[in-house]
Amino acid sequence: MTTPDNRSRQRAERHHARAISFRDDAELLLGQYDKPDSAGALLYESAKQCINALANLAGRNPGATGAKTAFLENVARQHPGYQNALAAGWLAASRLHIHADRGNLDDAQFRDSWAEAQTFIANLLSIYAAAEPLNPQR
Amino acid sequence: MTMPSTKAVLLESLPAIECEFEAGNYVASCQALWQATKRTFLMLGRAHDLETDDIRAIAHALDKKYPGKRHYTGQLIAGELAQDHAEMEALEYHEIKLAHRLLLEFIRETCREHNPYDDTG
Repeated sequence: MTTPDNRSRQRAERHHARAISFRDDAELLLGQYDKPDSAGALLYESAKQCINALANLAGRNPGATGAKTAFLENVARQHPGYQNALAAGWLAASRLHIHADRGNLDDAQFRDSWAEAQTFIANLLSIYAAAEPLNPQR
Repeated sequence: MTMPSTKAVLLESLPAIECEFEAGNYVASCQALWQATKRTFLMLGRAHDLETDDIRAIAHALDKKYPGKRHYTGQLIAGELAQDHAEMEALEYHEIKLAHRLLLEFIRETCREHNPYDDTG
């Protein structure tokens, strides 16, 4: 892993904070306001922020979604225990994103994608927390 | 004439899926990938004596029985996402590629575990 400079560390912290905030807001939208489309879109954004945070911590800054996916596959290779779960979780988050636009999921499909995306976010936050000692400010 | 088993048909369909993907025929490859994913779950259901053809119920039952083993519900979602692309052309290239990588590996590993050339499938 490339050592991040201060700017990358700051970016990582910002993305990490957004990831948690978006996830919490998504849960609120679903649980209290019954807005699954908006909640799914926001959970997808949380998943993206998690990838960005980890990438920044590695001194990287993937812009396009395809570059985020490529970075995620690298992360998965470094964490074999998470490998398939990370790939499947990212695809689940993508499915929520598509559903927000097209409304194509039934209730069972939405529940499964939501749960998988939540697990994906939790896994990436765990990986981030384990990598965080690289950051001397913490 | 001996009919090939479901499992043999499944395993033999994978090179064609890869060919369609390599040729850039993503709708066709995603449609075939979704069909192969469904067959894989039905095969798993029979192999584990689950008395249902509901592939979502099969995925949930296997995740409950073998927590953390293969993440069956996640594989099902990846298959359904391939179906989404076959029906709506909803995915970007990197999502299509990831779904193919994940599912082809899942199907091949499942076939290896459950002897794809026996006649019980």
